[in-house]
Amino acid sequence: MIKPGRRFGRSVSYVVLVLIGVAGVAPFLYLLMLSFKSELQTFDVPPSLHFDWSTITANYGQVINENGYFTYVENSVIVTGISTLIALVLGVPAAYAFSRLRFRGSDNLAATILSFRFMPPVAVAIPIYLMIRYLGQVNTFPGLILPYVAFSLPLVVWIMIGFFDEIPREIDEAAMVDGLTRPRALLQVLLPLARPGMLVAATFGVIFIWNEFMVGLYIVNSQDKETIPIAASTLLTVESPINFNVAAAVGIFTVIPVLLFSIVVQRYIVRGITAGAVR
Amino acid sequence: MATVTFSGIGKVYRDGTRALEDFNLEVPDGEFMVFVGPSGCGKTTALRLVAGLEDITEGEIRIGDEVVNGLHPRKRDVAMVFQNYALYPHMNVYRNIAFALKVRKTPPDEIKRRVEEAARILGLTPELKRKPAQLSGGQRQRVAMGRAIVRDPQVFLMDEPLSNLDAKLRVQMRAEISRIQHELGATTIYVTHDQVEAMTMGDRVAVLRKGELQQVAPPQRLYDRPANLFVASFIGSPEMNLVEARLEQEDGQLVCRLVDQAIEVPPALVADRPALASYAGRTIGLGIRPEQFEDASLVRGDSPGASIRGRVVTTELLGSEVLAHVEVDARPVATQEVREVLEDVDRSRVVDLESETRARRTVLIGRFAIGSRVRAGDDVTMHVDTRRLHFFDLETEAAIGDDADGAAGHPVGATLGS
Repeated sequence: MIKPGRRFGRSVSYVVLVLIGVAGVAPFLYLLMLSFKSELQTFDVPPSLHFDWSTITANYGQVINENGYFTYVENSVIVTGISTLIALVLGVPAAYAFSRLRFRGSDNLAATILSFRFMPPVAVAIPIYLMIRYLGQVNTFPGLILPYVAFSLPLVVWIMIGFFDEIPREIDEAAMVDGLTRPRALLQVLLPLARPGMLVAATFGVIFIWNEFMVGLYIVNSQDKETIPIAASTLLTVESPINFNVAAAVGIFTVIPVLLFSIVVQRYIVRGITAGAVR
Repeated sequence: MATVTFSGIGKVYRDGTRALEDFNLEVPDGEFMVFVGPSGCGKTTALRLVAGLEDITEGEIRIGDEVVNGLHPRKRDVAMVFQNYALYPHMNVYRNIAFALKVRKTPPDEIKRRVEEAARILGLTPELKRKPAQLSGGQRQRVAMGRAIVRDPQVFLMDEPLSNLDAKLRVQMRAEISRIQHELGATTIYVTHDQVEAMTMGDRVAVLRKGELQQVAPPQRLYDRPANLFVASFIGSPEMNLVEARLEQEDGQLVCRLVDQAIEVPPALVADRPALASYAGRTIGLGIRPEQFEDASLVRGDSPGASIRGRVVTTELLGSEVLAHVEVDARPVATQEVREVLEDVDRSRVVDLESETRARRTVLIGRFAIGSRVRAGDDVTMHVDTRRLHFFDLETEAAIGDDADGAAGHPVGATLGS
């Protein structure tokens, strides 16, 4: 039996949680509803609800066929995926070294790496553009991937240092006494344990790169290499006013891949965030 | 299986802390050697040096005939049980135990056979499919043991493997580890801060203090003939009573004089410790174990020169015996070594020791037979078993006339003549 007082407390917390949930979901629902309307219907006062299949196909058809958003989604997925992967491959062993090995200046170096992240992309967009141009990588995926790796690497390193610190050193030591070299101990024993951490780091990286606009804008100027944020910015131009229904459809396009990614990894993330707390 | 030899081992950590100093010891093939000492004495460091988890600063460690100084842990063929078990949380019990064999590319049938054998010995067979998180503390401890024994290594290293278990389980596992060790006949180095574990499990026990070896001896010898005040007060529970006494020659008889009472030293003891005579006229440390005391009213006959009077402060009824805390006019031994041991037990004990020193009153603990009727506040005469008195030089803190086991710095392996 649950005590009445406790039941009341629980009811209150559910009400609060539901309200927070509604507040979180509402913008997405609004976006979705907006993308179902025709251009004129978007200006209805009070706002109206429409579900007309022909309008929907018209809106999304325009986004897919005329604006070619599948290409942009594809570009974004490629750039984000590869950048995050490289950041993990480089960052995880680095974090392991910072967590386990003591070498000259290791603490300072770790702090320095984090400081690279203090700089917002806006501040460094032009220097980065010049460097990429010098490398002849303007308008290429590597030209985007290089700076994105540089941006997410410090994040990966720092998140992973925290996760490795949570794993007792004795686990590595046991693995080495059991017959593994340190790198193989990392690969075979520690990586499976650090998986939640890697997914957390990957998620932060993915969200940042997926939304990154400034640097991409400088480096890419041909339509076939544009990522979603850059492409979306062209919805509003001097000669054509913004069509909110089309913009909403683009928004849905932008959100869905990240949403799918988060749904896949979220159970690991939740576990990862709480992993240290309950030990 | 192999002999482990420490020759002149020193370890200085990067921050300048010295953990071990000129550590010499030979652990013969098949021996169960226990390293014991208070926290920070270097016992775990010594163990980790054997495993290869720390670099050796000075000296040489040999496993069998091979110098292992520069050898990676995986090439030393040692198995280690960690204090926190260090099980691989993402693998089930079977895979945890099999892991080292798999890494060494043992044939699969062989792995299966050996893991099942180890599981049988440890009673883990029903648990093989479960993950460490689903196991109790005792079961996890067994898995850690299983991971070690399945390897059939040259040396077993155990770092306080029982310290995370509750008291009852600890007693059970103590016996079990001893049994398994004897069954396998494996050279074992076992680190603990618990002197009861050390006494019950070790073939020999090495007592460490501040990175220096104090004494290496079989448990009984350690108890009967502690090499110095540190070992004397560290080994035994309740610990040895230590008071200052003036050694005097009276009518051809050596006498330990406390403030206003005297205990005669039996001639046999003097014969056994010739150096004692030269301490006549000096103040020494007198050691008496609790079980050497008995309520004089329970002892048949008179015991002149073998009794001591005092006032009972408290009694602890233990069912099979009575621990009597008896305050006596005497100054407690308060040398550096004794303080260190007390500090390791409980800091407040040092404060007690200081007030006792000022008041020239010492509380002795006597282990009386259950027939004793003494209660707090009573005056009591305690009979002393003088055949087993302990004597210590208060300056060097070493036992007087005891040189058999070699104090710090001695080449211990050599003195044993093994």
